[in-house]
Amino acid sequence: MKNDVVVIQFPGVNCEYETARALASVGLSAKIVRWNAAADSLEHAAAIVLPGGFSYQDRIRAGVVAAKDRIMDAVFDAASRGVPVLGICNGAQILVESGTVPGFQTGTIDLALAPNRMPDRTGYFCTWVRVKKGPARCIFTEFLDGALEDAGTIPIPLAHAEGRFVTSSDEVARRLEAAEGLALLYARPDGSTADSFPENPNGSLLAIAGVTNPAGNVLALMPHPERATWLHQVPRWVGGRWAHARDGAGAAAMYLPGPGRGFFESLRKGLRP
Amino acid sequence: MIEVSLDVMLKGIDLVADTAFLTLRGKMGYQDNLLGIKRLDAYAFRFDAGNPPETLSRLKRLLNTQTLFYNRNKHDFSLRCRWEGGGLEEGVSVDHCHRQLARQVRRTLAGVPSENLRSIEGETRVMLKNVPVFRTEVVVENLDPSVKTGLSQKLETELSTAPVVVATLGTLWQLALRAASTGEAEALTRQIVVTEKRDRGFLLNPNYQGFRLLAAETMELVE
Repeated sequence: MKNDVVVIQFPGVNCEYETARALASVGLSAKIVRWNAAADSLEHAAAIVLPGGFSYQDRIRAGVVAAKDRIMDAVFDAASRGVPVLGICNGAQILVESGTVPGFQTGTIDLALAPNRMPDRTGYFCTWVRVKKGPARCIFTEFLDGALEDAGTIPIPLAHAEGRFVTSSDEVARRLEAAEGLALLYARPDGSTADSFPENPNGSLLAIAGVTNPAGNVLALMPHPERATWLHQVPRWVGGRWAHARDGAGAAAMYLPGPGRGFFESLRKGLRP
Repeated sequence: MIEVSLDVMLKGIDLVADTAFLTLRGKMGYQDNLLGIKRLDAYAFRFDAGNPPETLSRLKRLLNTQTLFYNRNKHDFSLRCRWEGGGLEEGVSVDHCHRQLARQVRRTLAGVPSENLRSIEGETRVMLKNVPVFRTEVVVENLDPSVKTGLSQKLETELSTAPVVVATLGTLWQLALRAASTGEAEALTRQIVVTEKRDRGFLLNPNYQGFRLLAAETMELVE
């Protein structure tokens, strides 16, 4: 397992295999590890990914039961040592509920992923959106440039009911507004920050799609890059460079890289410069 | 003014409450203090009505024909309505919840030697090693006002009355806690409810939820 990227399979997640395939697509060796594995199973991990899904059926609050699992102590320790940790969707909810991000105060729960706030509807929402890099440096977005469209955006799918980043702390809000931790923001096609539905699909504070820690090695990301690893996964209606490339690729779109692969490529370059 | 409160509980096994129980005892170290936990969905709202009985019959028709609050096939409910000069109470969910909590406490204490359970002659409270067991009740709510606004708009349409003020829309948790005093039971409840640190608190995230402590009283030895 040495130097593998470890994908943690909590009970109820459902994206662990496609996440492992996305990691493999950029040449990283991925290993799926169960949530109740031995305490030292993350010791030599090159990076850790908490995949999307519904850990513990989202009981009580999405991500909170998994956040109390013993393996999260090891994730927290690894993150403190600088090991890259990516939480995708439910994985992001686990990182938030365990206080791993934004990490302004060690272990304090400074953020929540609250239920989506959308006009005329509630609950689960599934679509493609555009995101852009925020001002905070993060290993998962550092080398994303090759995937960006002309406006600096990247199309990506999302699917969640509780994805609205919020905080009750004035201090945390102030630090976020000062651009600390803002790794990824929802954006309009012209590259401007999306402050309203549907470009900001859940009413997230400051249009946050992904939050990183001060060291930049942890990313809690609500969209699903692993679902955009191959070009054929990009729907035509999304428009822009990637949809155009898919149209032009024909059957080869099955094998060509999609926009989401950029996040994993960025991790690979961060691990092996 | 009619004041309505409605508490809804699953008739069958509540996996969410059971998961909370197992997580708090098995992963968070509350095995010595937490003896049971149950939950209900709690609603409270009020509105003006010229003819309370007629408006209430509309409300009951709404409850019986739509699944806005509960589904009769899988939920029990307790409905309490009060207005000047009248009132109405029906349903079983609150009693049902108390009974279920007491049953869970008995199950949790099943392996405890009987001499540890009651030591004071004539004592009717649940006592574990001379320490009483309290039932505390907290309601956890989403602080986003738009959540309540959506429900009040729906009720205004269905009941043909306005405005409807939604006072409570959340989850009512009932906890059975071993604590030396009411103050300690309340403090323990707060510690369990509010997620402040990675290893402290569970039932709500204070960044978008709030809570009110409704009760803290000793549990009696009732069947």
